[in-house]
Amino acid sequence: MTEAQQFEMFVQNYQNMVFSTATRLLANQTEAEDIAQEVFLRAYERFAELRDSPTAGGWLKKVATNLSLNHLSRYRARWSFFSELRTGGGEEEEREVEFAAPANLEAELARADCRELVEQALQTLPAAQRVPLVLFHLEGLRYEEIAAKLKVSLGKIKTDIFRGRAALRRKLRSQLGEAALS
Amino acid sequence: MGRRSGAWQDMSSDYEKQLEAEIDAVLKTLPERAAPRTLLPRVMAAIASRAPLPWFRQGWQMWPAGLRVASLAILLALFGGLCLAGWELPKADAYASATREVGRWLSGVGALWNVVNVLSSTMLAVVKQLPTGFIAACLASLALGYALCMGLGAAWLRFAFARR
Repeated sequence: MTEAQQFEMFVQNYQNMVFSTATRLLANQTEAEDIAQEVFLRAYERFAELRDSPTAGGWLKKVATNLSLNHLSRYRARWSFFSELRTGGGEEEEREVEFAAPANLEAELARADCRELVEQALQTLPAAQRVPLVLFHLEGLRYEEIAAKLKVSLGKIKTDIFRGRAALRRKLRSQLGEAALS
Repeated sequence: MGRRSGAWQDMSSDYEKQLEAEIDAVLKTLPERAAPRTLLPRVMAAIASRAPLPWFRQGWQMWPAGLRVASLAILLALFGGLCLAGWELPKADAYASATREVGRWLSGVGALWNVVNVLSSTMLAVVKQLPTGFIAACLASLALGYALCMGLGAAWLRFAFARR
């Protein structure tokens, strides 16, 4: 098997993981594909090391995350600004109004086979909430690590993640309601 | 009042924990998204386009070792030849006549140089006659034009490469 064929197999093995990471952070499939391409081009440069490395997946995920965040950083000032603006707005009240004990959302989603609904709901979250939420729940980063990566305060990260969770739950609830009706 | 506030905080904390666990469970069960079919061909095409260039289109450092040694030897020989020629040529009989011939060829260039010299000294004399304020205004308008071009260029770049 030639090196090109080996690399092709390597891309096939990891392309879904890399693409998923980029798509969930960027909420844009075209940009995610560009990022995934760049990730694999960088992997090609280090293919001799990565070929048999058990940490290749982790390396790819890390590069995909960093490149996606770099891509977003151009717009970070803008979305931070809007996120700050919302601090005094209506979403602050969701802490106080959404105290009803949540029913088992996961079970409901599994029943409805609605994983795509979750993806869609995640994509529609504003970047200021989606990015830290994805980094926390899907990339397994801690609050402090996310704050350092995004260069924002720990308090803001916690607030954004809380708001993201609440917004995601609200969106899923409304979509599940619609799905059940249709 | 304090007890109510404490109860509220407990409730809020419980809610946050419950929400975190719930969203975590939902997100962790998400399967990987299928990459578009175009990704693999794109990656392979990009790699193919980055294939190394032939040695003669790369920098000298990237040439094969033998060719580097040969090219160095040729360059040294050329340099040595030029030095030797520079040393020996003035001693040759033909040198004086050759120098005269070259001087004749360059006489046209000398005339051109004189014209340029006269023109530049005239320009300098004219500029010296102009009021200082006028010169300052000219320089300021030049600087303003340059700044405008820079600003417009930067604005255009931002606009052209902004995310649509």
